[in-house]
Amino acid sequence: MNMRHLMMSSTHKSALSQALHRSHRLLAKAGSWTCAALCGALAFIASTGALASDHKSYPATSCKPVHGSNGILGPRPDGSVENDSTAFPLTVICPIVRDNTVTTGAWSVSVHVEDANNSGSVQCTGLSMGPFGGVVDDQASLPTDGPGTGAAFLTMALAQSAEAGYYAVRCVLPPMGANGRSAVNSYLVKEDAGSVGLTDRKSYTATYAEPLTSDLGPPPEIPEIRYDDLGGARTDNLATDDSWALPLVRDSVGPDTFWNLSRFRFNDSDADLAVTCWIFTYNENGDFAGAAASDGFQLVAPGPVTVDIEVHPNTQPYSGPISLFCTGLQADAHAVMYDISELTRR
Amino acid sequence: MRQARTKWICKHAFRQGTAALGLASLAAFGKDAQAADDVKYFNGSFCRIVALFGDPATQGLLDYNAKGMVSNWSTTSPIKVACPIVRDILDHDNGWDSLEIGYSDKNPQSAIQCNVFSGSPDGTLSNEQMGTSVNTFGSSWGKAGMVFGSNGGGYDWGFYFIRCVLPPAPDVGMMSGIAYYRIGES
Repeated sequence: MNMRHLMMSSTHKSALSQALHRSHRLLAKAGSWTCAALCGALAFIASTGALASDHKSYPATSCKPVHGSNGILGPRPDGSVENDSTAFPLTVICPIVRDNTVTTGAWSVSVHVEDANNSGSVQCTGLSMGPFGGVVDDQASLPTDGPGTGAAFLTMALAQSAEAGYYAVRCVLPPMGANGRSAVNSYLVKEDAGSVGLTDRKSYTATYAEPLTSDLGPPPEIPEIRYDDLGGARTDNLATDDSWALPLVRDSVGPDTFWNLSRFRFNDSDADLAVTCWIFTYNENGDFAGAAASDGFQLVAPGPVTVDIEVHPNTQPYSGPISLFCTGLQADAHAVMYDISELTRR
Repeated sequence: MRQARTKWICKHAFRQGTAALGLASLAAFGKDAQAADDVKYFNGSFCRIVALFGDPATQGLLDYNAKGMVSNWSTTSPIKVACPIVRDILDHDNGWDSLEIGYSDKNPQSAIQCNVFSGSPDGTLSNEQMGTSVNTFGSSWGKAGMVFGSNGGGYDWGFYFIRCVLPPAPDVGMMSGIAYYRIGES
């Protein structure tokens, strides 16, 4: 985690607000799309009053189609995603790596979109979710409006977040129009930097999950995952248990950095499954460096479940990436998020 | 072109004096710490399919494995994948300091080809660098040919992005794929 230590007085905020207003007008006069984009960015930057902030940007590559949406996801080679349907809108859910999982304050997201449909519009909704998937706050953007909207930033400022919760942003793209295909290009997230410490915990929307296949080729049935419109995911395979890869960013890199806790959360509507999660660590050349698994358990009642993988500390040094995967997932397990804590040892 | 126009507009705005405070304040408010390199490793399993080549009947599906890798298990068709980078320092246009891609290349006839980019918020890509893999053996990963220095420039508030073409497997289980990618920003 990068720590940002920028303080802003109320005088500065006021000046900034006025200046932003003026610059918005000035740039809008130029009438170019670039202006609109820049003004959107300005609005985004001013959208929360955080004293110290952490920004991250994402290409839309990770956005996935919401199960049940009739549109057709078209991933573009420039990292954006579009709706290729001529008849139906497409709802996509875009995951976020939340970097400050401690505070309960404001955050904001700004999505760069293209609206190519003269009669429809693009609209996005920021989602602030609790650790087990409850909506803590949600905020819809204004829709793009009218013919010739073209490209725009849609900015959502959310007032609340939950400790140990997760974030996502959902967008609806209209069907293909006279001007082409509507798309999500990229998104920016701004959150409070939080307190300075030696532990860095990030939470991930379950939307990032991918079905784990085999090193030896395709299994008889390709497992699929249904992604929902709140960032959740569940296996589409009713016959057997599935395994998922849960991608991670290793953010603490160095000889004295380790992971020490990872959690996978889901809600189970049955009580007949036993999910096990694993973390493997590697060196840069692919040598296996260490592994840890969650304790085995058997659910006794439906409800929220947290699968912990914990080590105190991981004494096995590793110079490369960390991987996380979980096995034993059945269709009645509705996953919502996973997280990992990294620490720097003094 | 758009970047040049943005820069002109900003320059013009500063000359006008009206937006100077706003943009300067933006730079200050959004400024990320200018500290030592911020290094991140990403699993290859972040990568998503962009396009298939050849016979669509093969539906060249991606293989995600426990190592966090993404591979092409088709024995006939290459697959193009897009690998997102969560960019952490956004307020200046210096680009990244370093970027490397760890891979497994099992096809002696055809290499993994990767292109790395800076992207503006609207998806305009620039500062492209290209890399080509060399064969790896056993379970080892390689990064030869895929180590990139500073890309010389990014976009304020833009993103970084990797696109790779994974060759088909010469035999079942002999898959080529991306194990990880590592970026250093400052």
